[in-house]
Amino acid sequence: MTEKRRAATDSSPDDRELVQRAKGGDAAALDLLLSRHQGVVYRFLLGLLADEDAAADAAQETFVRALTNLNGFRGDAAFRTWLLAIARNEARGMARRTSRRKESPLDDLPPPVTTEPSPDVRAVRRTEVERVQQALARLPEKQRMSVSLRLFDGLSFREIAAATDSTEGSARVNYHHGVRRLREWLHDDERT
Amino acid sequence: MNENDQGSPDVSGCSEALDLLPLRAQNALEAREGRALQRHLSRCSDCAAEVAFLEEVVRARPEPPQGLKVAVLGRLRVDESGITEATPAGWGALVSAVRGSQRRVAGWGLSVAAMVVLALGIGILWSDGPTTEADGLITSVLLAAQEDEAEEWMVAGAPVLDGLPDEVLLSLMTEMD
Ligand SMILES: [Zn+2]
Repeated sequence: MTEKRRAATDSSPDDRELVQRAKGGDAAALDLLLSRHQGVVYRFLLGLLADEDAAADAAQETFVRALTNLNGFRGDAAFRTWLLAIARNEARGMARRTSRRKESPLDDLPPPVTTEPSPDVRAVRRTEVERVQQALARLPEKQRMSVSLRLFDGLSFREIAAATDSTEGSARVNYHHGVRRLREWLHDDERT
Repeated sequence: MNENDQGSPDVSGCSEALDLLPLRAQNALEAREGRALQRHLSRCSDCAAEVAFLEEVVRARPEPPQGLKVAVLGRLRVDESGITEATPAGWGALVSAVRGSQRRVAGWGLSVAAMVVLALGIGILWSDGPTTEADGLITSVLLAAQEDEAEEWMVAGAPVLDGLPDEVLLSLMTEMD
């Protein structure tokens, strides 16, 4: 797993040790846990909520909830998996609150997939990063989550399955379909 | 079980290579895996093209807003008994008032140093005593600051200052010039 990888390539303490130290009031350990996981938690929530502000708010709530309840972390799963489970609950709660407020469930996001971008869209010269991010946003949620967790954060398919309430096999399939679609869209864009 | 988890150094086929590509794209490969993959890429143009594409995607990785960690730490109290949510007197109400209006975490854009300067500014402004509703807010901020250790409060200062009305922030800035 990625945690083993990290141990093999650098000497920073693993999550389990940091969690123990943070429980005892070690602020440096807490700081390190936050630095290590804020990216994956934020991106995970961005994938679910499709909104940067909502993802930032939900990430803040996720960490406050998780870090003030470290005793609830039993240590049988990876700390990251535990964090993502809390994040998923947070996103659900947020989606419920939002849909109650404005009748439009977040499940409707991102905008419907069209195979061909309109000529207007193609005419706009976008930066490479924007093009990729917009293509990612067009992917169906399961594919987007698998691609993001795998490519951006290096999760194993087993971890992705746990985080997205799916099976290892579907996580793998979703990842490959997602990447294939991205390639089609981005290369189509380039040719025009 | 997935092949990457075993860290197999023997990359002979495309499927093994394809599983290592995401890890290479984010520099998470062990050296021997990297060398094995490199050998495969040098003789397989399909996988080489794929790696170029995956690296393009990875360059678009969204990053969390800069203020996220500070915002979280500002809501926590850490001591020997562990981590609890910080709730100094008058702070809870302020936080909930602020949370409603609080938008982009990244938008805080205030460094800790800037917050210290602002805090000093608040102190100067407050010397005449609170008169308006905005001053009342500042009073709460100051009370929270006085009850806490300065360092804790400075971190907590991000959401508090963000919640202050623009005109108050502006007058603080002016006051400091
Ligand atoms: Zn190949």
